[in-house]
Amino acid sequence: MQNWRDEKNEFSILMLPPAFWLVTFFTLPLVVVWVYSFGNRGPLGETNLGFTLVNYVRAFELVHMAILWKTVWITIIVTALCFAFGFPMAMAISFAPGKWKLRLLMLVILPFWTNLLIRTYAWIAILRPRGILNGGLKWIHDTWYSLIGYGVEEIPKFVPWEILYNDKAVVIGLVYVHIPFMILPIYATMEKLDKSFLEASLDLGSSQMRTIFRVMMPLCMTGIVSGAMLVFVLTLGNFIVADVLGGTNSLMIGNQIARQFGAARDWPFGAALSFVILYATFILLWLRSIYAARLEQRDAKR
Amino acid sequence: MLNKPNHGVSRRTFLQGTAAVGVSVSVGSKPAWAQEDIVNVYNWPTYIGETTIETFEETTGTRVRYDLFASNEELIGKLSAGNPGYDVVVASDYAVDLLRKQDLLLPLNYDLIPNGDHLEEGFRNPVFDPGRIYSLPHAISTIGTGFRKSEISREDASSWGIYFDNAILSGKKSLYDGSRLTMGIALQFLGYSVNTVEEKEIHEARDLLIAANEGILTFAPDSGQDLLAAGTVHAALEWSGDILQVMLEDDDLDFAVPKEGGLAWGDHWAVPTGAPHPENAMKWINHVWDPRVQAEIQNTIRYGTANAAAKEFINPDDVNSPVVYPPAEVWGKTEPIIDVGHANRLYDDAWTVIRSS
Repeated sequence: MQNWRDEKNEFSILMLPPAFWLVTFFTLPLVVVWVYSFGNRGPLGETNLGFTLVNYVRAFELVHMAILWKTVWITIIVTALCFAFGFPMAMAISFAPGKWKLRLLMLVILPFWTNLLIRTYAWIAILRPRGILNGGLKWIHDTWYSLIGYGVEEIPKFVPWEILYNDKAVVIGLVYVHIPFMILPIYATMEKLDKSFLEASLDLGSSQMRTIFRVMMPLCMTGIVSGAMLVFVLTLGNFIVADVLGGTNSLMIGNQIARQFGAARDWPFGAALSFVILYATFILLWLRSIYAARLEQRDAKR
Repeated sequence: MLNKPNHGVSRRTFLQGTAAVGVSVSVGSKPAWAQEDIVNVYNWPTYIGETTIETFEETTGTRVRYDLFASNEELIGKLSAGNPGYDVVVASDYAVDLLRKQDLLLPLNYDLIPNGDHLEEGFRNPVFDPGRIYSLPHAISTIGTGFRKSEISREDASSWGIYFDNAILSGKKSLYDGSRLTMGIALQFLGYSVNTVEEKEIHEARDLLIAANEGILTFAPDSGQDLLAAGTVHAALEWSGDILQVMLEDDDLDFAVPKEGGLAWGDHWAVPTGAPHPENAMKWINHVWDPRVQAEIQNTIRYGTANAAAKEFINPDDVNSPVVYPPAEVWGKTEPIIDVGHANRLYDDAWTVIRSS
């Protein structure tokens, strides 16, 4: 392979558009937000630039740390659930016959064609007390009681499952929204996987389950880690789902930030809060890169 | 107002916006489009009569460019970053207050707005714009409780107390996902002003709401009327007009302004600083204040008018409805929400605690 140092001119011309893109649409806005985070809010909600750390001090107040803690917990649960459902789905797609593979992949990507807000609102219709889920449960309830001999009048009243407007609904919504980000990277690594490893494992007497857990999962680890990272970071910042499906105490850190830029009109504090998250995210990405480097080292040794 | 679609952003308005950004950078010379005979109107979605634009273009010969926004914060954000070319906007009470204090509004030229004389006495001196120097009402309403008659009596629904008693309609009540509004009703229930800046009073309201979290289903983002219509809740804190719309489809629903006061709400026409066609903006306001035009608007959007001469042209059912026009003794007790400056921080911190405990 050619070294980029041999073709410096060509390389820099090729690098120009992405570098321009990154600086204009990523670094510059980030710098603006960073500068804001040291400003203060005027009495009319205007942003006064300056240098003060009060916004960061406020961001580390107990109440905000508690919200962050809760958000991280919800995010961990969502990531775990996405993996629990996403891994078998990726496997199913990967082992499906060629024609089906494409159709199944389309099904994973299809929801992206509808606006996130609308997809989240749709869950209200499914989960509400007189919604689709409770309608189905009521039908089972009524049918069961009439089958075991209750008259129409005697059937006990169906009590709807209260699953909307609480943290359960938020977790369901978040898993639904983010599961494609788990499936796709895992599927990508599975596709590259040499299937003869699996055959070898089965030939040597491992059970199907053991093969999945001891051979397949370790070999797909890069995909799993990438998927988990994507789901984790996206869930951490999501606020629409908690807004639409959450109950009275559903506040996540994303809602808190969004409110500072909206109704509270306290942009400096919102900026400081988002930078606290950003630092946390950077630490996570850094840990991931350390992990990836270790894997490479280990592979190199083999 | 989170979920209302913004069908108004066409490519043309987008280009116009980008052009305006360019203009604000290049100093001096007026661009050609600013001299065209047009008026750029910036309003909320579904908040205008069916024929208003048409009749304005016919009577004045001035063309209308119509654009939509979804929240006061969006409006304030755009105007404080430099007016991108709007001539006339619709702002809520507290937004008028904030905009005028930041010199983002032009005084109205009443020589060009003779119809302003129709303004009812009670609306001439609001706290957010004393003397109506910068704004004229577009629509007025109250915030109260929409409720299901078969589940709760009108008498019970006529107190904010239902939201703070966890035994009443437990898990079947929704409040609004906004700190000032929802904390406002708690303050009113406690006998304080909705605009208090006293830390002790704000904390009392906070503790009241934390204790009530148990019985409240959710803080709805302006969708209380949908929750009510779907039977998910039986009492919801909402705007009168929103409840009126679902009352048309379900006659088991009704609206009450609580005896503790209720909140007054108004949206107002105003002309932002830097408007390219301020005279056309005044002509526009004069047009929508024409009694017949005003009546056509309110017959479409079904909110209240502050235009005394328009009432005779408004659908009698609405004029006589206590939901659209609360009786004087009710209206007299309502309070508008105004901006509280540095005390916003107290409300926001309290709200954070309420929403996370």
